[in-house]
Amino acid sequence: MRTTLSRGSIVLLAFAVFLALGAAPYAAVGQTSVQIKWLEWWVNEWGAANHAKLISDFEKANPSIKVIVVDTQYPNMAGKLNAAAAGGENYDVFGTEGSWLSGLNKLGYVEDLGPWLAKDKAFADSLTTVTPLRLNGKTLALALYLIPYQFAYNVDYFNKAQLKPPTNWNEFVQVEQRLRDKAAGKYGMSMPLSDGGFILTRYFGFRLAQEGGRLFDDNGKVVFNSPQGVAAVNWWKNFYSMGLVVPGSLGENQTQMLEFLASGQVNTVIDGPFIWSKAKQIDANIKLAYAPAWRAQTGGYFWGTSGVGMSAKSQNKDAAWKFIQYLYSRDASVGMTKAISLPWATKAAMDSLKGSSDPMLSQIPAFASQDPAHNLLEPVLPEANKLVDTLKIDFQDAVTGKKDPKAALDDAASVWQAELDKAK
Amino acid sequence: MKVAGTRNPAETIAPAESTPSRIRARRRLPGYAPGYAFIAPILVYLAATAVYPILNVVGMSLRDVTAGHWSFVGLANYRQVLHDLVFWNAMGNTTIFTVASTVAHLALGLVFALLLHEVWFSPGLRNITRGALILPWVFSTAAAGLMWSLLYHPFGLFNYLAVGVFGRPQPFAFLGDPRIALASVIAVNVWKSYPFYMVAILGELQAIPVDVFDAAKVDGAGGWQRFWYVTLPQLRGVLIAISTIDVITTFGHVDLINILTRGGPGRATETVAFHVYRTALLDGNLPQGAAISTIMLVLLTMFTWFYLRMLARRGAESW
Repeated sequence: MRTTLSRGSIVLLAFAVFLALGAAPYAAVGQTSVQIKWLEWWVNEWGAANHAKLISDFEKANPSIKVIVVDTQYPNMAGKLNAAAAGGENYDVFGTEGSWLSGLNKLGYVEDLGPWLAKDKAFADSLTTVTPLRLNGKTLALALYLIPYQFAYNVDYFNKAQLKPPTNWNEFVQVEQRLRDKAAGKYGMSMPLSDGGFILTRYFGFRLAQEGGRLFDDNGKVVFNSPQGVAAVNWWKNFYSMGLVVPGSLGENQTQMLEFLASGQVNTVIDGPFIWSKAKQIDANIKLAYAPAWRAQTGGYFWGTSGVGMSAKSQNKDAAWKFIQYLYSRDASVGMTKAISLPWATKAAMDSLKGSSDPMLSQIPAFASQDPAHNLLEPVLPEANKLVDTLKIDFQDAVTGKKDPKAALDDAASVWQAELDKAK
Repeated sequence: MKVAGTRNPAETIAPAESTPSRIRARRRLPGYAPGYAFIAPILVYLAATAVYPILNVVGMSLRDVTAGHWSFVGLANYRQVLHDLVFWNAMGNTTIFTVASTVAHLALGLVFALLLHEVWFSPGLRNITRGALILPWVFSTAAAGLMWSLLYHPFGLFNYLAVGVFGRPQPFAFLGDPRIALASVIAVNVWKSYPFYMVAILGELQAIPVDVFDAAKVDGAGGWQRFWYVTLPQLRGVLIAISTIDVITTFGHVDLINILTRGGPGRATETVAFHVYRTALLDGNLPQGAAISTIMLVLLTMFTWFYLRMLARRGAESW
């Protein structure tokens, strides 16, 4: 007896075939390799080729692990991570700023890397002392690279204008005054004061270190509202009033600063060494260099960092840890330091800077070594975004004359202290 | 007469051997049940995409989280929000942003609609003008934000004119000066959305019977009197409806603020909606973000209830 399939049965059969075909590749992968998801924003910053090489080298060394790269624009990273933490979406390894860690930790998203480091002493010893990013006794992430913030300049423009890079703060002001060209609409530099991170690291933090100030005392009390902190704010207030920076600083962001730099509207900047690789994305021919190490009351520098964390929800923690270890391996860290002019947070990478001919990297050992006692490191804070935002608003108010610098710093310090006390 | 190639439909309805006893009586659902059955799919959709998330957010606002563990804290988040000066600053910015945008939308939309409603000497020119006036509506918010951020740029067109042509010593910091940043953002919002008002009002104008105006002319009413006593009352319904929609959508604007200023300089352009985005997604403080969202929900619900009451009082049928 002939049996004919009903329409519904045909549809069901077609759907089942479709599902089987669609699932087959995943099934095949599942049988031969573990997949880990790597959420980051660095493809653009490091260059696609450098990033791709990093991944392919890891996969060659670990054929049973496949890395799924989830590249996200930096402005969207924090939101994406918080949404993932709230919604249960898993990214096995993720890039992170220190300021995001407290929020992610509250949501239970961050794996404590302390026990993982304890299991592998050789690996732990290969890292610098400031690589582990800790909050309340937990190692929430590892700093991927250490960023000193220093004056950088357009080498070709300076050669053409017969300008020498400034060797101290006074020469810095003189250079900026020479760069200001009202007729041509050129300014000395751009100061993105809309970014609290910029204010903490590149402006207030940098000058605070050079004034001999600190963010916290040895008991963890907030002390940036010290006379050294007030001196730092006053210095920037005086500089801002000279009209040497691009107008609209209070609303400017890093993207605009890069545009100004790459287009030649400004030819100097205070930033980390990655600024060169970022500027090259806009103008491939631009050549930047760091000025030699400066000294004011001290020779201290402010160091920032971005890090790498592991998800506490990861189903493949061993594979994720292997990937993290690879990122900090000697070959990867030294290679990436050279490729993108950014000192990786390993002892091998920092050692490789000595004798470097890179115009940015070659200056960094001096920043680290000329006055290590006065170097400041970007802290991992509870409610970090709120605290950095508070400092930003008070710094803006002080620099624009809306508030007295001492009063502004006192207000910011009281908010910081309240949050730190709450977190204890 | 049976036509070749056709079948009598009656022959296909029931089998040849059927008898009345084999035909089952159709069951009818009682009362309004058929109506509910028809709208059930959309109700399920609304429950999943609107009701559940709202209840989730309200529930989140009553809890706090530590190391991934959620616990009930009652109204603690609300107390924290209501004592936060940043929240009140955002409320102030939102009020200014919403009122200014809505009034400007209304004024511009009405003026352009009246202009287009007139008889032009050249219908072709009128059509071109209408197309040009609608153009801002076509832009996505991202495109509009990007375009205006370039116009507002220290080296953009506006400052080129201000500095290069009119000789101003310094460029305007449209998005970098706290005194004018909010006005700059409002200008972009007004430019982007006035066509919605214009199109809605123009449609209503064209629906007003000409006899009403003729009668007013016969009674000796001048142009302004006809506008005030005839046109405006006829437009009242549509004006209330679109301004209410505008208030609700403007209150929740995040995208334009995010593209143009990200709430800065300082907190000069931070609205309540952006404050929610920053608190919940950037700072990772979901419970507090949920509390602020719930406060917004209550305020907008009260406003919408007010609108429905106004319409009901006028005897108009609510949509």
